[in-house]
Amino acid sequence: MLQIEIRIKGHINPQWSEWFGGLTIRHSDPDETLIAGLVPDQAALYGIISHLRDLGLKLTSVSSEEVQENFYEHNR
Amino acid sequence: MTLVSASAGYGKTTLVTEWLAATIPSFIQGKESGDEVRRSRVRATWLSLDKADNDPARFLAYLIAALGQVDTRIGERTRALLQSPGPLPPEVVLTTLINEIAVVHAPFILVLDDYHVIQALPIHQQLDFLVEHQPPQMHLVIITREDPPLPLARLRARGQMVEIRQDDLRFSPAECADFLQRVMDLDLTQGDIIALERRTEGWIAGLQLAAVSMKGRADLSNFVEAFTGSSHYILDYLIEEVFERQPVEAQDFLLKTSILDRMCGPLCDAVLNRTGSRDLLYRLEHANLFIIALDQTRTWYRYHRLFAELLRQRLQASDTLSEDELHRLASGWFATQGFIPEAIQHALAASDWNRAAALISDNSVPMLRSGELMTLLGWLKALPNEVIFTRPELCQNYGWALTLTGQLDAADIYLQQAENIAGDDERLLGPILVARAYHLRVGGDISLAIDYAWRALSILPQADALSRGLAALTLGLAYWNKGDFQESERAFLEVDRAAQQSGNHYARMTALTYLGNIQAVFGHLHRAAELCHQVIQSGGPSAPVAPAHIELAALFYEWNQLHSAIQEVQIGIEQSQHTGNPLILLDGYRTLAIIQQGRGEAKEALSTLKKADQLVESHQVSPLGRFRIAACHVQVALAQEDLTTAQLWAEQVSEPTDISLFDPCLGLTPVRILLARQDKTKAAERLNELYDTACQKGCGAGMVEVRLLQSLAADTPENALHFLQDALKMAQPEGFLRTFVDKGKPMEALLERLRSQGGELKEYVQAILAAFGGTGRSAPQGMLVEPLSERELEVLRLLAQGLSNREIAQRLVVTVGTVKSHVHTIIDKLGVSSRTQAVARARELALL
Repeated sequence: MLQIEIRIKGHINPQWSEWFGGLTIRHSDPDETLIAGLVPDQAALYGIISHLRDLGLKLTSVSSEEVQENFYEHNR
Repeated sequence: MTLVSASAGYGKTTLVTEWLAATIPSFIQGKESGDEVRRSRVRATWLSLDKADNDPARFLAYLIAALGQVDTRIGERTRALLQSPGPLPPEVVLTTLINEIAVVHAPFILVLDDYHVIQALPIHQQLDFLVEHQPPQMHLVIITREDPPLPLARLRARGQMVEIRQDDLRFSPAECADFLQRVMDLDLTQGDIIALERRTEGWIAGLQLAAVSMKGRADLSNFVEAFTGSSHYILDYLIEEVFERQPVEAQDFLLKTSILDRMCGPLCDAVLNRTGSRDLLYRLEHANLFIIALDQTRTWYRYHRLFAELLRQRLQASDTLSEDELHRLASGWFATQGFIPEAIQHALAASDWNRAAALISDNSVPMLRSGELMTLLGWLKALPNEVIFTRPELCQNYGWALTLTGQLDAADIYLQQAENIAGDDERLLGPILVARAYHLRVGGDISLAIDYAWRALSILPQADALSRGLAALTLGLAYWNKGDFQESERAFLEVDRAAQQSGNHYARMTALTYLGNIQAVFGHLHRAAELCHQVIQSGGPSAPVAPAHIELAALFYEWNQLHSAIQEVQIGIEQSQHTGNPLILLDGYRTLAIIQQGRGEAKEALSTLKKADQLVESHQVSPLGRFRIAACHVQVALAQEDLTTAQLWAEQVSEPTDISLFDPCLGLTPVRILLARQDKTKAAERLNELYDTACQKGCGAGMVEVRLLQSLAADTPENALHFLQDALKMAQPEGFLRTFVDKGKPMEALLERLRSQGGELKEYVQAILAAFGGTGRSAPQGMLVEPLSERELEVLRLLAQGLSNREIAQRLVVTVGTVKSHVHTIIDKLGVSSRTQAVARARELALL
């Protein structure tokens, strides 16, 4: 699984959350929206980015990090 | 090339449409695939892409259709090529297409709109190939939201690309003012305009939506203040404004039709269960609601993609409207109107599996034939397995599509399931057995493939020429792989018959090429050459033409016509480089290496083999392909008297039982090594067995070869001459030469001895001895002092077809003057005085 954080310019409606596969949408700054959450893999991340592109949104940053799927089990 | 690359809503499409309208007086805006500009003097063609076009075959079909709008001649040959069963390597198709484009004289423009929807790597590769080999008369315009994966830096450096990007498309303050005041007729102050320009940053989609929101409002400055002061995403803000101001009827319409990629009045009526949608569409267009007419008659429309996205999001968020139901209604309408792909997509979107399965089932055969495999696979993958597993035809076609795309394990599951459900129903079972036989052969299970193909032929009705042809093709290839040439010949004759009946040109050419090869194995060299010529003349640029050239080269080599041999093999190699089939290219390299060695060009032969080795390493080459190359190494090394190298390579040649013993160099490799080591007794033993096998299989060429090796391995001179005479009798009618010459000095000595004894076949012996001259470098009869160049040969072939200088010039895209000078040189080199004589002489020399 990938933990992703995408920052875009402007405030987008939190209603879009479902459209982005249930990722959290938060207004993190007076002129910035943070889209964050877990996605299965890089392909899913690219899918979201192309979706942002199709909405004409401006990307300011993208970051992603691999996380263990069964993180808790491993730490038991 | 022009690249228009910017985010959504910057007016890319509008810009290019207006540019074309201004540049080309006859250009009419028409934007969907299949709805290109229709006028006699069209010099531009437009291809709008959508997600469904991510299938290389479909993309190519649309591309060809679009180019056909420029000139009806473009695509004739390419389309013929595409009728072959199974997928062809894209390079072959594209090369043909590019050659067809080259025939068009006037410059024209090809626009690919929304190229960013293309995610399929093979399509990017096709485009790259097209750009790299772009004929000068074509100008490509790519409209996209992201830079395409083409070598853009190189195109930029070469000055071959004009770029129009976001900054160029952004509206300047003056343009904003012009748009808002003049075009949208809004009474705004200078301050309002500046504020709007800042807020939208000159983004036209934002400006337009803002303008639509302001229409009919009394207090514009209030609106501007609220809008520019908000930090909300422009579209979220404005869509709310625009949407809420629509009448309820329009709101409902916009939401429900947002599921449609394109729409017309009757379709909307069906989906909304209402009437009068056509008028409503017209009204929406006039209200500037981001709706675009796709044709002149205002029949088909689509929403601006950005707007559609926003509407769909609203639809999804509303709980009262069932999207499934809307998709089901859309699917029904599209199906009754014959728009099958859209009917299937909507059925899948509605999760209406029975409906989708029935539609896919009815349409998979034509899709398999046209090679739209990715689209078909995409649909089938969207269906749950339980739905597929109960339908034998669907299982069968899924199996085919997976087999043809190399997914053999997955294919096996569906094909076995198909066979299980079909049971004893012969009508269903016949085509399933064909698919299984094909699958088994590709997977290397030759014997079982033969069983299945026979079973298929025993139950398929005579009228089903397509299935019978495929079964016979599988049979022919399987027997050929096994080295059973008599059975293989029978099967390919059946393919030829069935292919003529079903009009399958590609299958017919494949059959003739194999029949030519089989005739050569049988030792019927002249008949083999005839078949190769037939394929070359009528084959067109399809895959079987390359092997026909290579086979012909081998025949010329046998007749010691080294110059023609070299020319044919070079054409064969060049063409096989386009086919993407490494096995054909390997055959070409093997033949070339042997010819080069025969001409005494030892270094060149080795460097050709090196290329073959690299190919083997970089591609997944079948074991048989690798053995053949190794066997060829052995032959060349022995001719160069390098026994150590020969032995090393010989270890790489193994002989699985299924493989042809009489593939020209395979079965004989160990014997050659034994002879080189002077181990004559062992060699003679083995050769006795091989001779019997060759007789049984009817391998005439192999019988001559074995007899000659036997004469070299013989214990007494008498026996040696006895074997040699036997070989001469068999070889004389077909004029074998190199099989003798390549045995080198010992063979020459034996022939000299035979000549001194006189007797029958004296003239033939004389001819063979003449061919021994030097290392075969001495010019055989009729060879040219100065060989013809590739281009001259090309001109010669067109001359032979009776084309005038002007027609040849058009065909080759050169000036008439250039053609004249080529013709002049050809006449000179051939030592004749007219075009007609040149053609006759060229035929004598087997240059044609």
